[in-house]
Amino acid sequence: MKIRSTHIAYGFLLACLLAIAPSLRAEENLKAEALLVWGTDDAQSPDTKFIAVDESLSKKLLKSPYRWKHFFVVNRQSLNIPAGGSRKGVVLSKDCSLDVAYLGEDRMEIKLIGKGKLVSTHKESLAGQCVFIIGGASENDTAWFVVIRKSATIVASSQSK
Amino acid sequence: MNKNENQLELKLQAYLDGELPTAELAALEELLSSHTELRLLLEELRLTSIALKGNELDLKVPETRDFYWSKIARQIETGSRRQETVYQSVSGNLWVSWIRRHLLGLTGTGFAFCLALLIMTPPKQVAMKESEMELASDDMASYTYNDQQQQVKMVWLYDRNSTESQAKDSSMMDSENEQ
Amino acid sequence: MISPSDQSTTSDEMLVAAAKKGDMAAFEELVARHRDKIYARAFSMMRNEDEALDLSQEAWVKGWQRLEQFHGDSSFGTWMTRITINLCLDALRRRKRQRTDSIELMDEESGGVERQMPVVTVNPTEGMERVELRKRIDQALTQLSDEHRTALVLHEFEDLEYKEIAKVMGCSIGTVMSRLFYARRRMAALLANLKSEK
Repeated sequence: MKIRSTHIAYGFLLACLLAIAPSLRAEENLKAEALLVWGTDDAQSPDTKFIAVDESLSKKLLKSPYRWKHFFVVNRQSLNIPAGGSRKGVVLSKDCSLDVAYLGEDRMEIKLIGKGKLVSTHKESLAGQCVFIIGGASENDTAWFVVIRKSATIVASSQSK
Repeated sequence: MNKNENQLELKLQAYLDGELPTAELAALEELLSSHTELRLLLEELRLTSIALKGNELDLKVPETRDFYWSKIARQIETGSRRQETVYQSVSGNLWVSWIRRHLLGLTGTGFAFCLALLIMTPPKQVAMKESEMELASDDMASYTYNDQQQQVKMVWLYDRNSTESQAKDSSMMDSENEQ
Repeated sequence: MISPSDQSTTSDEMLVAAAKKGDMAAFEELVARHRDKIYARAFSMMRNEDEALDLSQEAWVKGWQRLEQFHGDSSFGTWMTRITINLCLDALRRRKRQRTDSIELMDEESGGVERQMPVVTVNPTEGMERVELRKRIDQALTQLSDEHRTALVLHEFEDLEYKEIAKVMGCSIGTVMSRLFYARRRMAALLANLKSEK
């Protein structure tokens, strides 16, 4: 049989597909980060350690129904959790920590612990560039936000600047 | 979340729109008289409805009368076939002939790939509901906000019993307070 | 046949009667009278000028083909608007099938998202010129999903009842109510936001 260019093309296509197949089969670890963010109407941060959130996150928070105009990162924790795994005691402040479990397929279970007690449990998907935020009122008419997002979201947001 | 609360708010809307069954009117009006948050919500819905009615943007066709009509007349005369349907059938034909030419090759390649993937892929979990939430205390309540465009999901937690937190919550959108 | 000089003073009913007999000029006069309204309705649903133009013209073609079905139960403008709305809904359904996911639908399935937004206590029209208000409403409409915007447009601008909207949109009355509720709450928040940005 004469080998035609189309045969070569199919063979090449198959070789490419087989090369990427292993990367498709395994569920990767969830690489994400959890941030504790402080929302306020003051343009200045009271503590020089607290820097303003990145532009992408700021835009999302500003477009929400909540009225605060300025957001500062109080703490940041990286997460790298295998599918089916979990990480307990992700400390964001002396009063706030998270227990995070990765359920697979971009789906997470997040337990918010406040002052040592369970406050709420959430199951959310972080598919695509979705960002999940839990918030509540704080002193002096300010607010706290716990922001969970995938690491790819951070790369995408910094690249879009 | 609380399904009864959801139903109540939809009844409130129906009440505003004059679509609430007569038999339910008295009960809802009694609830309105004793629940400030319901009255506030009704007022918000009413103001929004008033703002919308009669305030649609006055748009004009961005083409001259003759030009706009000429296209209509042409379509009426040649039949009501949509240009999109014509485009789809033409491009559809091109695609069909291309696929026919390469059918065997593509099928074989696809089958080999699927087989390889099947051998290497572990069984996937059953898809679950997208969002679930559970509050640890009955004293806590929440607002949820989803924004498809911004790809953000927010849950706002507050203490039901704290009048201070409720006042803060209700003032969140009050632009007058910001001034 | 109605002469061109008489057309501008002739009622819609007479123009329709003439058009039914094949008088294209009479139909053209009807198009000229109602084209802005039909186009505006198509644009409010599709939010795209080219699509609105195409769909409004298609609506006129369909109107011509179905003239025999118009019996004067409603005004001609209203009848044409219904044809336009149905065409737009078909187009939106085609557009929706091409999307890979729909977080908006997830919102509906998870239930009650919109009712948990903080209540807006500011009157969105207060202190605003009408022209400005219309622009802001138009801006805010763009930010709604197709389903929510459609429910809002059909109720607030077309004055359809819940059951009529349900029939037109091909969903249950409960779904219409939920979508309308979400849309109104979202509009309230958006208008309040736009006002505070001013």
